Amino acid sequence: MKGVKLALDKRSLGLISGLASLFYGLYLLLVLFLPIYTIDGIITGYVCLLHYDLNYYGKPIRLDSLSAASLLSIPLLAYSLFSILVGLLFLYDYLKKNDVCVSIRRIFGNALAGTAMSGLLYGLLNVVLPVEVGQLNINLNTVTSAGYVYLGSSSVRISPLSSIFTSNLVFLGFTAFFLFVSSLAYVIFVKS
Amino acid sequence: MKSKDIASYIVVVLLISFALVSRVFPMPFNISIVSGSSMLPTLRTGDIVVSISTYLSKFNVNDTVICCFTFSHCIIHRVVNFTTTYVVTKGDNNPLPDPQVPLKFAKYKVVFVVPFVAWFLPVLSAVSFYLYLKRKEVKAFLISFAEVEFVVFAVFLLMDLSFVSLVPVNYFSFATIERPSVELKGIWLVNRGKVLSINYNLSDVNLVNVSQCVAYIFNNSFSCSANISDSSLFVTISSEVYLKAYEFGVERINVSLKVVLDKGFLIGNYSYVVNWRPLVLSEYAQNVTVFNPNYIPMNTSNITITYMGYDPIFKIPVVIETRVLPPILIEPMNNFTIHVSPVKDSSYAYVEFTYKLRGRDIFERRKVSFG
Repeated sequence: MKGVKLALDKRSLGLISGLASLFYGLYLLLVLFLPIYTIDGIITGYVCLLHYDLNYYGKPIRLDSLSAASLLSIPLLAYSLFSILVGLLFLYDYLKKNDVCVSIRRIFGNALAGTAMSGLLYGLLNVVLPVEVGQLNINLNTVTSAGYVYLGSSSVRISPLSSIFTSNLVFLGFTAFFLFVSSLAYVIFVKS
Repeated sequence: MKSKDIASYIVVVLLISFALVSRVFPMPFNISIVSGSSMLPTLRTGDIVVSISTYLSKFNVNDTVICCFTFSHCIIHRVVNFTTTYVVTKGDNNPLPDPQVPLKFAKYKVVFVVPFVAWFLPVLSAVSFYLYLKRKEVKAFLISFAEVEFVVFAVFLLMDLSFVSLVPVNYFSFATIERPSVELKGIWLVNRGKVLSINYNLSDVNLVNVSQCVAYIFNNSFSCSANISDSSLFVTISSEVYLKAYEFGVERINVSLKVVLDKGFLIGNYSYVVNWRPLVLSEYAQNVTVFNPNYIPMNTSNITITYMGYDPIFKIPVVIETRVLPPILIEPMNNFTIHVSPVKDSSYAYVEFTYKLRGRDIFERRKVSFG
């Protein structure tokens, strides 16, 4: 009876780690595509991790710093897609009642890689984007020899939804949870 | 995993680490991947640049250098100016140069560029070819999933480190973006004071129309109209403004404008000085010309021409004839000429008149000789 209960718990833990992988991938995908900053005024547009669209007085502009951030987000995109794939493969094996040992190993490897990826994501969300996007908060209204020249200003806003999803607590917590669950599953499935 | 494989992983990690470390600590050379469009068309996103340290090879103006501020923030721009203490760079595609930075930040001089198309396809082909050659091992690996967790981790870690080390994040400075500006170039009166010409130095901005134009004399306001021609405004000042200014004895006239720009608007308060000056008289060839240098009409009265001659016996001046002319209104910045034709026995004549200037009666007299 105890053995049956343990087996059920073992399968449940595997399922949780598989679902964690799937949802972690979906979460990262959301973070990558969700507009994190919206800019209004003389500069209008939005900034996502993977893409940005900014117009300065109605003309599109490209900023090297944000282009670099987009380029740096490519590994995160690859990782999130892989995470979803690994989660789906696990669910396939789980539903087909196949041996999920290999899937658990993939998930564990994926969770380990998630720690490295979370460092990159942390850097992009907390260092690169705030510094670079912060400079779009500009005010061109000035007094010159011609008089008071009102050329407008722009303000940067963090979109409410993304501020929840990109908060350090959420993504580091999610990463830690994913790592914990997958490690536990790895130990129980592979090492025991 | 074989120790040979582990060694090769370590070599790759060390190589990638070298790319990161070289941004902070001086290394003989550096390899980076270009991101962004600031150096178009010279450098494109994905191009690999090979550069050597500036302590090994000094750079000059027009050289492309890599300035690194932190391990993640670097720019690859062209040198436009440098001294012994600072360097100024500019992206080929940027309208303005970057803010000057200390010379020590210019760490590498670009010596070699591998275009994206030149390296990406060969590398992709080489990897594909390698995988094709090792297809049996790859297939066996995929079937066995041996150490799959380590491979997954290693692949993503390498990918992560490769991107972080090879893609420098350029510092963005708003100073490098062209900012519109409006500066006053000059103000002067044209068309006999009827029009105030206001000229601007415009950069990346255009005048569209004037939504408000008011001239002020103390608390009295007078609407005015304005036309735009390129970077100049022509404000038509009504004569009423000058009349009121003259009445109050004011020499400074203020004009307030609200100018609509294509990127905003401008509120300008300008003032100019009008000097109320006496009429200017000149005499030439039996003509007395009176010039009104003011922006209001001036009324002259008591205009008389007194013809003088000499008594034939006593040789003393005598009045031969006196003519009185009607009052004359001289328009602003205009001349009026009094022609003095000699009468019989006259040797010369006096032209006299009076006018008022700011409440004072002024008497003018000019002698016209007929000899």
